[in-house]
Amino acid sequence: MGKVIEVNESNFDEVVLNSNVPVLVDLWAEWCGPCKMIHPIMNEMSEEFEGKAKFTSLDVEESPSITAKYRVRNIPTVLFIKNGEVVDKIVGAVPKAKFVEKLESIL
Amino acid sequence: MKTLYDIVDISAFDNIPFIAQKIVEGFITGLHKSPFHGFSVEFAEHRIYNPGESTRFIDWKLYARTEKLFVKKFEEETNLRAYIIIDTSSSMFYPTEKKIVNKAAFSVFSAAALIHLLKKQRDASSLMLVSEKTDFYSKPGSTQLHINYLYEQLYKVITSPLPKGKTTSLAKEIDTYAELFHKRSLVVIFSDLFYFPDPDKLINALKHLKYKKHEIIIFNTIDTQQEEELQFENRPYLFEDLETGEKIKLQPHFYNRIYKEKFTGYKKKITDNLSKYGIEVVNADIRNHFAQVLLPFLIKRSKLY
Repeated sequence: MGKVIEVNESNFDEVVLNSNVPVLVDLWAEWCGPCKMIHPIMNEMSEEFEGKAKFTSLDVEESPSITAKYRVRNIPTVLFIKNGEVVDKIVGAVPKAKFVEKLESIL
Repeated sequence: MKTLYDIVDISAFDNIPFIAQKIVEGFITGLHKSPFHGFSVEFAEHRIYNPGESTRFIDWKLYARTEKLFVKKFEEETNLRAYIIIDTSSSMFYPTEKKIVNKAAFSVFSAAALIHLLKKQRDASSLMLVSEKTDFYSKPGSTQLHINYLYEQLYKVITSPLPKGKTTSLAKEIDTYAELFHKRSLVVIFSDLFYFPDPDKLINALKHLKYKKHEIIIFNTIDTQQEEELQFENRPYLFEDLETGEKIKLQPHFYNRIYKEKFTGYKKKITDNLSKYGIEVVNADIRNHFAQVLLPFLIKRSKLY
């Protein structure tokens, strides 16, 4: 069973930046409606891509410094991070196929 | 659930947008689960409000709850392009007794309903009418103006005089236009698939579309009772080929079995060949309701995104 790991300022470096597989970081907030459309997609994908990629979620309210570091002004935003670098991102609630397509292109 | 026969009874059958709406509404209310669920991407994201910009899209409810100023952003981009192709060769105007009860009219109203559905989902639709040549082609669009234009073209199909002697060049035209279609689109074809003597040409043209990574669904419009089962009264008939004008006098009762065998064989050959390439052929009996078109369409649509 794959699962989405919750990240925050304390474990971001360890879980995301030092990962040896690509990581998707889903930036969301409790009050953001469209963000809720992304969660089930991340859950499904974490099972489908288990072992090949890591799926994480980050509450922007809890970790403002990370949000500022990556200049995220819109949520939901999903960052695609490989070897500690942002290689791609998707802004807004988009269909699952778009996430799959982007992820496959960086695997 | 609406059928073509119900539409004949609607006095305003010339109002295609109205009928399209009726067909779709009748169908949607009959479903347990909304097919639109998951597609609704109208409100797609929140963006931090920049001082100075218009306050029009600020999410005031969010501000009231959290004192945060965010702007609501809406998804306007089209998700999908659908190319609807209707075969308008003479054979599609069978049966000929009543003006709007024929395969062409069934295809026209189905297409109108699909365009209406696509519009609701903010998808773009394109229309192509093909007989001996491409009589009409429009690029995909999703504005109301574009949709009205397509409805107008559809209306012309059912109101023009019966086209006699028009064969179909569906294969050739699809081959030519395939180059113009955007990659990974949905191609919906309405045809009776009467492609004598060489159905392989049509199969090859469709393979070409598949090669271009399009998803294809073919609605094989047919009057099952008469065209497949040859069910007529027990008396001699004079049959006339609407495309070649060839006439033949016979008593259908005597040929029921052999005709059915040959017809099923022909259809099976096409269907089997196409299914090998993942091209779906759906039977669309013009005496049946429109759900037989809408449901497979929505299933196919949901597979794309």
